[in-house]
Amino acid sequence: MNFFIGFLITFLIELIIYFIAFKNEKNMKIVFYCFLINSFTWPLANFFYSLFGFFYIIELGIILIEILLIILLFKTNWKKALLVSLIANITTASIGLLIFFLQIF
Amino acid sequence: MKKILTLLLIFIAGFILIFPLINADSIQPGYKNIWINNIITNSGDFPNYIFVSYGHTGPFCHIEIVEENGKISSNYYKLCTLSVYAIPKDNFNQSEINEYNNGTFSIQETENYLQSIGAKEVIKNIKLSSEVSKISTKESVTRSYTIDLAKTLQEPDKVEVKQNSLIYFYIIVPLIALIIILSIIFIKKKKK
Repeated sequence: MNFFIGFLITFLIELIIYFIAFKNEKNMKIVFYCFLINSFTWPLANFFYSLFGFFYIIELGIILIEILLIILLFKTNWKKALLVSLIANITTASIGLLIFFLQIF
Repeated sequence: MKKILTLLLIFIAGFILIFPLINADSIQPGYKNIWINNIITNSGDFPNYIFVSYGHTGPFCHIEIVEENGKISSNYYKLCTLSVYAIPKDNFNQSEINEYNNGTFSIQETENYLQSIGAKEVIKNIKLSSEVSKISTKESVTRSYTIDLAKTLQEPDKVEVKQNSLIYFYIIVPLIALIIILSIIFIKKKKK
């Protein structure tokens, strides 16, 4: 259950950022591509994190993979892809951290 | 663009500083406790010895006999610092052990008793449990020890990790996503 909730939260947050970044693209296209990118990176990130830890290295790897996928799927330049990937991943990681803190206190 | 990147960098720096502070002795939210099975693989090679485990740390860290199949009891408080001792069969007295388990003996007194009956510490610092993420694929861990009466082992010879079915999601979902992504990229290139 945690698996699906975690995925859904990440997907929805990144979707908002994708909508802001790619205003000119069709809505369905954004939803589909965002879903595909997250379906690829989210399970891999969690799998490697549960096995090895190394949060920052895994997060960096995910950011780089997402940059590449954004460039290839949205046909955008690397600067925009970098910005979208950074904002999306930092936002989801921060919200995860916030939920973590709220559970503690 | 430059301003956004500067802000992002400041945010990343803050994030890196805060994240390592999250550490607590209790189970952290989002984590679960998995028990570790500890097994002695060659306990049958020493018919003249009885193997017992002892937790050192305090209450709920009593003395327990290692099972005939070599399984070390996990019936301990998770913070016990578990050791396994080999006691010569001739010196072993179950009622004395029971006395130490039920009485109000200090850790030092219990250790002195074990020493007095010729108990040899063959394994020390045995891990009883491990904290993993709730979405971890780890289901259980088995640590196997091959003992030698002349040595005190600190690490197992073999560690087996049993994964749960979630591992298939972690592999199949990204694989399907990757196939679809590659297909889209391929079709786009072909259209050009």
